[in-house]
Amino acid sequence: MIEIKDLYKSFGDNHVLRGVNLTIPEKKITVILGRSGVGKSVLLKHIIGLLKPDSGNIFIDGIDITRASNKQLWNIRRKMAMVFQGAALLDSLPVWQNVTLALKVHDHMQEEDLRRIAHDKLTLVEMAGSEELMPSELSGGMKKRVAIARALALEPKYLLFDEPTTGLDPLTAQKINELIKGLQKTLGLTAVIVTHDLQCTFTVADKIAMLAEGKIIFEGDIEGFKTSNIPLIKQYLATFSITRG
Amino acid sequence: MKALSYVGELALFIWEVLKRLPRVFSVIPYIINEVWKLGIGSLSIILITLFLGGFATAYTAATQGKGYLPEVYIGMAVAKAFFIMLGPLLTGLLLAGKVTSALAAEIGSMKVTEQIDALETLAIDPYHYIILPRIMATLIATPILTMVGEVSAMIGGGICAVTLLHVKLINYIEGLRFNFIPMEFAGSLVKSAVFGAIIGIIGTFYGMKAMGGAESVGKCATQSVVAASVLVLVFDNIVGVLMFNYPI
Repeated sequence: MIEIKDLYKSFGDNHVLRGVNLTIPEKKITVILGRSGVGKSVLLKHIIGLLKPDSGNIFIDGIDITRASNKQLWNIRRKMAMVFQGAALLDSLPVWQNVTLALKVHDHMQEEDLRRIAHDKLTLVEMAGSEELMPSELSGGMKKRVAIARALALEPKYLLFDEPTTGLDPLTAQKINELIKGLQKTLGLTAVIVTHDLQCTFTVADKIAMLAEGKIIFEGDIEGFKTSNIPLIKQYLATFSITRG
Repeated sequence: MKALSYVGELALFIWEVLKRLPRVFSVIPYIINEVWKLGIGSLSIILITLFLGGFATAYTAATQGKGYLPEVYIGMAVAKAFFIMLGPLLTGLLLAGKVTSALAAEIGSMKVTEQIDALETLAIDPYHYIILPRIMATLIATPILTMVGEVSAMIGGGICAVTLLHVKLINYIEGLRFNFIPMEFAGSLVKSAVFGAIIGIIGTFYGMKAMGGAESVGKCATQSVVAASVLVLVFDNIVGVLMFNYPI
């Protein structure tokens, strides 16, 4: 389980997180929803230890990663994986090496085994056959799928997604949403998704947390979200209804 | 204050790299790959520039000493000039332009496209797997390229001596061997190793400083070339004084 307690983070005068409290349940998909620039990605980068908070704590399986040593942090990261907004595939490596890079570095596996694992993981995300392609030869949706395959290669307990559908056409975005939902069910992962996309939220979320003005202003399920009286959520839902006609 | 903060950042960066040095053996394949890329990529420019430098040095030595210096001194002038000064300096400055900017741009674009963050999330230490191999590669490749460049300069000087100055080849070669001091040759390699370390450290340091987007990457690449070139010139004097006892 991931527990975030009184998390504060500022960049100069910009107070991004102002006391975030959130519990992320195991084996469920938690969506952190919020407007662009509200600090969703900053929160996600705190969860995986890429950023250090000004104050507050993040407990992952009981270990406070804000106070963890480098060694502890590396060990915790082996339980976690993150899919970045822009996929963040290594330009210089073909798809199969991108997928298995962590296994090569940590487990010193042979090329034959690495290729087999790459094929298996790429099959899970419906990208089998793309092993030899370079990232520059992939579309946005394909890059996201490969990034998910790379995240799955380490068989993580926690999978974090930063805006998984941003920049994708609606059909590709929906396919990515269904893929995330399917993978979570099949593999029993704990997933955290940050997004501003309500379609994505309603497709995948078991739990929704709404981030606004540096705090979590709502925590609950989809029904609770839809019937909430919080003005910002009502605005969000109204805009969603208009765009859906 | 800004300068102090810069020195502090650079010192911390170097400390992060030094901490990984005991585990350098685990990244030997990456280092070999980088040495190969760097060596092949820079070989032609080094060969051409130092060849022309040797050619010009031989011609200048001959015209300046015409009438009172025996022709055997043409070879000596080329050898001394390139072992003591021009070989490592020209190679260092060329690589400071070519390799430092390439390193800063490569790592800078990895930084702004979150590839460095992605490595960290995969529990892969970017200092160990990205930064250290590149610094070690410049440290190894720069002396090798300097040696190759010095040979190219000797050939350039020889062609000038034989074709333009009508010096007998045997006299030119005798000049190269005349008063050859192994310490000077070793000194040129030590100098170029120091330059290699500067090029690698400055290129990767500026790459890691990039943030935001393409504009920042371009800015870091330009700044890295300026910083590396100045440092190469500064350390040329420092190492020169220490090894050859020539005045600044």
